[in-house]
Amino acid sequence: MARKKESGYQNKKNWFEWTVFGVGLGLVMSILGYLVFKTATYTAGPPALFVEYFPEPGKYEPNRYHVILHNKGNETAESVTVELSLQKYGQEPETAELAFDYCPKESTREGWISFSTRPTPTDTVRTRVVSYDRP
Amino acid sequence: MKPTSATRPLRESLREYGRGIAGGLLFSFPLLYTMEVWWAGFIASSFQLILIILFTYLLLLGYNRYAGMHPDASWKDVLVDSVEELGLGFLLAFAMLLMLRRIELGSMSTIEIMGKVIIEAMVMSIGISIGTAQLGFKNGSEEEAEQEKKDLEKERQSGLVGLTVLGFCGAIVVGGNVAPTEEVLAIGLEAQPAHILAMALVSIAMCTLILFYANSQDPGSKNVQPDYITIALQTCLCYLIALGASAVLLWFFGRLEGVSLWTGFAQCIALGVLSSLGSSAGRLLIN
Repeated sequence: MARKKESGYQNKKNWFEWTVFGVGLGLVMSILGYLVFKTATYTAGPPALFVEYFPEPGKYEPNRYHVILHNKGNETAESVTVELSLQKYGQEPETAELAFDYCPKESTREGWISFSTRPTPTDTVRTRVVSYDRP
Repeated sequence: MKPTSATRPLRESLREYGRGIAGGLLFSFPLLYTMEVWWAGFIASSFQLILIILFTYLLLLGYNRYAGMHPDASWKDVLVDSVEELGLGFLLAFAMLLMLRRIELGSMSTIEIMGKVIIEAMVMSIGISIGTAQLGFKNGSEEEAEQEKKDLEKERQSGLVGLTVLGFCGAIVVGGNVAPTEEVLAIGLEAQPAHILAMALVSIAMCTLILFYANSQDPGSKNVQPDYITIALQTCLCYLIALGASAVLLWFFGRLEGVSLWTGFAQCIALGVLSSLGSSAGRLLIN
């Protein structure tokens, strides 16, 4: 502990302050270590988006689907538009779109869409990411 | 553990942390409630996040050296206190973002959470430093407190480096509240050259007014009338600090990417109106 008696200044840190300092130092070092690791292992590339979906009927929305957008890439995607289309006998009677402001790198975003017609077990629901920007 | 006479009582430490947390929240609440700041957290690369931690730490060192701590405090004390404030800033930013549901454990990735916390902790930790030093004064006898106050004043008023560091801190704290918003870009895009010129002139006039006519603590205005060269030099320095801080903030929030030189310049001048207030008046507030 630094002391400058000649000038009257004394560092008066007690055990509690040293504990806070220790926790702070540990936190800062851990964060920096993690970021250095992420920087060292970073590979440039566009966002890697894929969509997961499953039916999740609600009380007032019987044809509702739960949509989960994943970004496995190292870049954040902005203004992501996801389209879900209902396919019946080779036709596409209905499509629905879902917009996400952002899907950060290595993260997920969730949303729900509702079709006006009830999909039957023989129908197919297809999904695709229509567009996104680089922020 | 019972405190010895050489150490500060626990109650005083808690009071000091309380002041720091109050200061941190006071300066960072606008940023905690700004969408663009959350977005900047996950858009920034890991390398940019490292840079922002180092930049914040340097600002803390500067502030603590020239205003936050006793002038006789050694560099070791300054380094230790700055780490403490940075750590507290991270913890406080994490807690506030969790409360506001801006971070969700489980559904959000570590890097997304970390990005948001680091960006918010930047101003938070500077606020903690300012709050600890400024909101209230230390215990001890009246004479000791008075002497310490005088020593601090002497330290703050000496040297161009100290004034530059404090001006930069003030510009970052004040300008940082607006830099991430879309409004700065809108002003930069829509303003005509005449508007930009007016903003620059108003900023310079504000710097002069605050530095030499509203600041009774400044050495330039104490007892002696400053000459025109001193006024011109200090005003230019103050405005340049403001523009420098504005450029750093705009660069960090990605506002200078993919825009023309004129648009970038216009944004710097537009944000410079606030930053110049920070580098001149903010310098008094945090001083």
